[in-house]
Amino acid sequence: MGLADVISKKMAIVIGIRVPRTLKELDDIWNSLKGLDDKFDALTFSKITPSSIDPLASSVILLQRTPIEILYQLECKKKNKSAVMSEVLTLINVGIRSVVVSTGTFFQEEFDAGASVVSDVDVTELVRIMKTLERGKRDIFGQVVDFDGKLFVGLRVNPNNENLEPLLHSIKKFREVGADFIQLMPSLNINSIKRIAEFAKSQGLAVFSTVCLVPSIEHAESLSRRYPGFTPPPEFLEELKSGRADEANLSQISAMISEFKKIGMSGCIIDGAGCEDLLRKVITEV
Amino acid sequence: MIITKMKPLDEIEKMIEPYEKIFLLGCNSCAAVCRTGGEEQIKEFYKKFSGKKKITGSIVAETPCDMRTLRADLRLVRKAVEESDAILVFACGVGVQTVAALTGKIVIPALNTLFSGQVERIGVYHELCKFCGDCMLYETVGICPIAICPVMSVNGPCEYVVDGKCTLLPGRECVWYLILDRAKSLGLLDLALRYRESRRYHGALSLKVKEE
Repeated sequence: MGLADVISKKMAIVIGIRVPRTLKELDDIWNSLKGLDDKFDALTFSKITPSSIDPLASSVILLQRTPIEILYQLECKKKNKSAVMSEVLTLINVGIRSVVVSTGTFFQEEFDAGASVVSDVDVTELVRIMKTLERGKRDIFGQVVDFDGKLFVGLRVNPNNENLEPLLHSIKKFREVGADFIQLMPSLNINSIKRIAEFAKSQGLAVFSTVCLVPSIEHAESLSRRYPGFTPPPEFLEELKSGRADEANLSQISAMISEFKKIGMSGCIIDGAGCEDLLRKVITEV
Repeated sequence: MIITKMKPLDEIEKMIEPYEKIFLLGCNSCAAVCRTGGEEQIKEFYKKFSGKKKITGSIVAETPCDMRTLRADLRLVRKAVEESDAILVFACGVGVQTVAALTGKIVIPALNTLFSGQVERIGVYHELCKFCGDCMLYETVGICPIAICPVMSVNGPCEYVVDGKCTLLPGRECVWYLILDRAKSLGLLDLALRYRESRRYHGALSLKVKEE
């Protein structure tokens, strides 16, 4: 069952694992999650290192082994239109239907402020490209695409902003170009999350929230680069220091998920990329 | 204004090493403003290298990127240029290529061409145009998201904005927060919020000589 169908019945749970650097690593991660298939509805690969196996290749390999629903993270960064189109065509041909479009993942060490990151398309245009393909059965070069399915496409929104007005304008535009959902990036600002979620729902968009597992102080630092503006609360960090990472994460994630249920989120992404052992414990318990 | 920066001296020395007789050509336009290719820089270079190489002559051309004026300027120094083995050009990449085309000589760039920028003061420049060939500045109320936004978003803020600030270029305001703010105060919010496709770099991709 695709994510679009799942959310019509319940709040979907998507787990995030790291894009592996080797096939053995992919096997190890997948084996560690065996037997827990009924605890989540989809899986997404997150990049946590500047170099890894291609996320699309990882998804294809996993799909060949098991009929799992993949929420694919499609990045705009450093791709021209032709590269983007090839990735989209590969996605639909291997059976991936749920896609979250993002600007890309930036790692401090690779981002050179002196050199612009060239993107031929931004996130809004990329959603439009995908939805035009879905409706018109043609790619951006006008070539016919043999595709009859439906795509479930979303974009990321960062709730860590006091002035939400520009973001709400963007959300409206996302809907206009055909987006189906937004993914809220991790934030402890519940007011901001609520306001964005309510607005997105009023525009007819489904809303996925994101929570991330934080097994250590170092991991918290790397998360703040992947998810700008996100910092775990000081009392949580204290618990990590005192060696109570499992308990701290369990109680934090449980609290956030129950809050998301109250808000009426369509889904929740539990990002355990880089700490899949903890992820296993959390999805078993939550 | 084309912003240029002097190449490291050792890099220049390496390039001119095989040649005995050098002619120096500066630029009295952009490079002079950047203080990378004006009268002073040519004199300085002359002093530094006249003991090591034979400098056949020098000129600070009015606009080395303009074939018409450069042709006239070169007439004044024809003999010195002809005598030289190579011309060291203190101008942007366009100037260097124009000198090469008009003289047929070996040309050596003394500068690195950086970008088209606004001059705040000498040494402080802001890149404000990417030459996309399809200007959207009316819609974006005089602020270019392609030149200023590190991810070149043309439709609004990306997910790397925290409290209105760009986290990819720390210390900078998100260009889309600035655009929407200005658009609102000018009563042009609907215009700024329009969906637009990324630029296709019509100008940049065309190698044809355009006859307007």
